[in-house]
Amino acid sequence: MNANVLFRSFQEKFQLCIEERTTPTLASQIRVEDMCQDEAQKLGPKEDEKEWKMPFFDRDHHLAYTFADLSKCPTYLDASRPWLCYWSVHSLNLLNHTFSHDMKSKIVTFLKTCESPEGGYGGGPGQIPHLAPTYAAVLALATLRCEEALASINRETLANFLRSVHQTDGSYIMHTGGEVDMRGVYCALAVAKLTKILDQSMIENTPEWIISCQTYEGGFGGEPGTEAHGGYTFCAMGALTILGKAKLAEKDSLLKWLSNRQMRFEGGFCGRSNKLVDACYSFWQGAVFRLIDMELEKEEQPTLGLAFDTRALEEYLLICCQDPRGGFRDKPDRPRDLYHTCYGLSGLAVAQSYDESKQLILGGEAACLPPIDPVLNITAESETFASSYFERLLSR
Amino acid sequence: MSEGTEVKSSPFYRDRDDWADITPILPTPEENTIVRIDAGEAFVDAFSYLRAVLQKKEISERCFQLTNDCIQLNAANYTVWQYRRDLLKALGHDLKAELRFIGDIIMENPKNYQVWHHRRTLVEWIGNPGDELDFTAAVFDDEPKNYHGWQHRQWVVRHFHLVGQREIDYTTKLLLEDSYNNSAWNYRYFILQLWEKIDHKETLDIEINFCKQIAGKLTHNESVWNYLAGLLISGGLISRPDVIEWAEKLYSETENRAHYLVSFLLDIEMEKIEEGLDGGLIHVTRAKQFCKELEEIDPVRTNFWRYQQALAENKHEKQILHAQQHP
Repeated sequence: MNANVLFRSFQEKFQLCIEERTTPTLASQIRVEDMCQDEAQKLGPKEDEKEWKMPFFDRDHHLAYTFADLSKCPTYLDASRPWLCYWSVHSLNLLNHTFSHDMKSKIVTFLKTCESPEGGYGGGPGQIPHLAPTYAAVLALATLRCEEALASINRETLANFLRSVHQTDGSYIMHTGGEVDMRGVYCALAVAKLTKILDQSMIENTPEWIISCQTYEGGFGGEPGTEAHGGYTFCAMGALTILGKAKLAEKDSLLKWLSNRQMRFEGGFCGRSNKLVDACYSFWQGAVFRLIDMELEKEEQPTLGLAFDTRALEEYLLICCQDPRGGFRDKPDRPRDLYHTCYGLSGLAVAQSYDESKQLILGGEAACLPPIDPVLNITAESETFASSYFERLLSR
Repeated sequence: MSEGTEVKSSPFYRDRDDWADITPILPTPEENTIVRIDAGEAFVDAFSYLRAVLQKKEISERCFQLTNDCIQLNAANYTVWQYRRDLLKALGHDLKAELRFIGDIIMENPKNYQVWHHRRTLVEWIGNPGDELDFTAAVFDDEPKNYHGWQHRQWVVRHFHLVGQREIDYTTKLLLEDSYNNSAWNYRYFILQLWEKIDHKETLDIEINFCKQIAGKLTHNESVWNYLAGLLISGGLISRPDVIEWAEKLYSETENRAHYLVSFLLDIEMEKIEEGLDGGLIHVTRAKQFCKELEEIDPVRTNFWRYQQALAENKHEKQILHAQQHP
């Protein structure tokens, strides 16, 4: 490959260093680096050209793809339908789409059919309430920025549901009879915080339980003792931030682990040590830098400022993760889906948030996304609308 | 279960005499305004009967059979699994048979939360660890970093007090196959903690030696550096001069320096600054040198290394202030 002056990522000298024999981990890492290099090469000059092409943010195709996929649900996601709503509407919101009244009303109507009489939301109509679709439903409704959507949430039964799944050790089970892990804590606290129903009974022993999941590597696992993982680390730090207890996390090791998750060749983030890059961690890991900064600011400590290589992340997302037909994918050999579209775009928004002038955004003005709230992952505008709505509700 | 697979063997429930007493609950137009299920008739048919019997909380053999079909259609439906557990208990089914059933489903869907939770619950009900260690080992043969599998093995070992040398040996075997398997390192750490051996000098000596053997050859392997630092969390890196000496030697002898190695030495300097060793200043200078080098060899983390540089100065100032106030 030619000396690749255009990009910060995909530099030959930062390719994997094999010191001895190859292993399954190294073999898969080499494969991914090669496919990323191929994607970058596609922007190289053709026969008669001299210039490299700049990566292009394919907004129109992303909009079209996200819209098309909001209409249907594959069978394996039959118990995650509110997730499909959230991934779509949040992606559309990031793409500056204005929702029609008809669309808003369809979303509100559908999500109401997922709300359980016991409170909270199930993965579809007639399913028992579960914390993950509850989080997805409430966030999808908040994204819409309309009172009808927020008014459709039954806050009283929601609070009952949250209390029913809170455990004495501080953790949360995902549903009655369900599993415990860090997702539960985050999903519960995020919806409670947003709808302003958070009370002491929901957080008894919870900060302690969260901290017990921080590992020797610095990141957080899903349960005490399990491996540090990007998704659970976001959930842990998001939950601690909501509780105002982020100072309990051991920051030095967390920051080191987190920084090491950015891949030196590909530019994107991986989820765990010695694992492969994946577009979704652009948000799960990227947002945690923001959460750490919020805490440092609170403690009146010097903030991180620009904490990771935002340009390298933008390059990974724009060059390696855009499907030519719209939507984002985990990595070049994986199919696009709404999950990776949502978290690819959200990660891009985090990266762009460090450039206040918006002058240096990769892909130019066309790629510019609105700011997001890094705790909840809805746009700042949607967060403000929802917060002030529930604030007014309380003062009535 | 791959997308769109349909059960061919069973006829539609709506055509079956033994289900004639049940009125299926079909999706209403409101339930299909968006994200409409893209499914064939068999899917809609089975789930509409499931919804009906769930609503009337029916406990019967036919409902148990129905959950078989529904799981084949979508193994990620947690409501079906929860109902199935209620049925298993109420009907007094053979739990060992259920364990075999879930074993097959896990092998087809190894990255699904529901199936692993179902297995954990069954093992808990059965009350003995049975073949769980072999079962997870079989899962790791296909995918040595399967998060759910490791989480399950940890639960089994903790719940049934199976901690011991056998588990350490198991991770040694996996790490000899692929020392980049971070899940195996994490599990090794977990075992030592549960065994309450992590702070024993004897254990530390063995583990540090193991790390040196691997990190000495594979300096670009993050997992081993994290594990080594993890072993020394309670005492600090500076509690082991032998480790410092080894790392310094590795540094001076290595040309293509992995940033993990330089970063390890930086962490040692940071500790020395915090402790105010040698007046501190000499260590601030050295820390800054390491940060400069790291910016060169690991530019993707330039911002982090610059922050570390500022942190070194910051820690030094704090330490001086502290020393003045507590002479």
